[in-house]
Amino acid sequence: MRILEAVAERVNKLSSRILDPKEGLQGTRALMVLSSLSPLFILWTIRGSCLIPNPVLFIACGLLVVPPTAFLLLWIRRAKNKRLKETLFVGKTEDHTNHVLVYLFANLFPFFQEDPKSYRELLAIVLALAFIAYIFYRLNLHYINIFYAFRGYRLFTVSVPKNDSDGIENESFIVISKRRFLSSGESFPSYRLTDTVYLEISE
Amino acid sequence: MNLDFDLGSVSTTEFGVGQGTASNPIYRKIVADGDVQDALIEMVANTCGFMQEYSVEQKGFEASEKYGGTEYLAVSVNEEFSKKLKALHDKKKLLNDAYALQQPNDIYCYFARLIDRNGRRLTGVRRASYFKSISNGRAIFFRDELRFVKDPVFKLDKDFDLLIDSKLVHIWRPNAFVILGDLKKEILKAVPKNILLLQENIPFVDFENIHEYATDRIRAANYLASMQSQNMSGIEINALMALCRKSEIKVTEFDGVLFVDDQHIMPFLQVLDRRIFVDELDPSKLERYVAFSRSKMID
Repeated sequence: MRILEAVAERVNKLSSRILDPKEGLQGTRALMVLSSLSPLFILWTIRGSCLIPNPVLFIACGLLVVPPTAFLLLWIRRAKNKRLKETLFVGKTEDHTNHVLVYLFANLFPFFQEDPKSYRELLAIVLALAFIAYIFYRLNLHYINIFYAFRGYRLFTVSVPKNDSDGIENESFIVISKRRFLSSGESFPSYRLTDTVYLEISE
Repeated sequence: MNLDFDLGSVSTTEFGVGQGTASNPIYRKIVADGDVQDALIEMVANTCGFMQEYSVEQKGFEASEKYGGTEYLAVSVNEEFSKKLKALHDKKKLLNDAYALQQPNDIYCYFARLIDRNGRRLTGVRRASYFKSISNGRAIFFRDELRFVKDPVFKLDKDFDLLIDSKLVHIWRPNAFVILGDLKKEILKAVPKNILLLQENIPFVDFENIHEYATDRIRAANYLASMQSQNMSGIEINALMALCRKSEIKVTEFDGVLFVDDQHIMPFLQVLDRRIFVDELDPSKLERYVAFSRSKMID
């Protein structure tokens, strides 16, 4: 009976991990999410606050902007230096650059307008922001970053070609590219930033 | 050997492992940096070099043949034997699994998938016997003093067991090809089809008991599979009966149909597969031999 239980446990562990492989790079993705919130912290720094003294605000927002964004740039450079490349095959593709605008209007502006009058309000704002950051992390929205838009990149959601599914439905990934569109059926090399986000190699 | 790939212009190199078994494989990709990619390309180059040294011409793979540890053979990717391996080669995207190497006992093979600048693909596959051999070991390294390696260590081999390009599976270790391609299962599954094809070419033999015999006997199934690559249509009933008599194989002829005795099915299949020969050097005592490995002499 014990052997049977051990075998069953093993099989469950293997099958749950295999059917739903854990995505690595948790810290990287968290920092990318933080980097995507940088515009908000920059705006707060410029606007200032009645409650928080300027030096404290500058340091806090600086720590929330500079290290995560520097990390993102270094991570991209690391992918290039270490040749972390993959050839991507395009099945279906959709341009989701408008996600960035939606994110801006839906998330950043309401927070930008908030100027806490008490520490309780400040705590509520910080927690609300933390919840949004967590949701972005869980939904793998760490690719939404306005700095990509500034550099002329577009965001495409790409699905694997038909009949190539690994048994998991709706397998798709994000391609950050300077091109205006991607064609179904084409293939191109890209740098892997995370398991679901790739940066197309531009010639 | 002719590889349909340009090793000098590799665009991307992927590394991955096969988990589970060859019958139900689960392939996962693991991100590998530039150094590992170079090592994998070197493995492919080594494999090509060994194959080229062994033989310039390529021989086909026969299921019933007994091969050496390393031998260069080639099979079309469209053959039944190549089905499982072709599925890995053709897969456009594999799931990343950063934790696949944490369960080394689940890994039965590892592979590299290369794409060159012309979009051509090459896959190298290797059984994982030595890959994980030192993962549980106490590996030490030296940097001004000896220290234990705390992280799990995996060892890449010098070469791959086989390479797959767009046209051929280039085999370097036939035994590994049988295991990685899950050939035993495929060959047993192919018994009914092979019997049908044989019946068309040799209509005067009754294959009913042979069919039943070979359904769960891999050696017999191997012989049937091997015969598909040979010319069976020119066999005559009298010549076959004569050879069976000489080889002391019990067959009976009734109404123009040859029936094979149940106890003599295996030797009968060996006769059809050209593996039995009778040595007549000493007429006083005929000696019969079975050749587990044979090559046709070129005329």
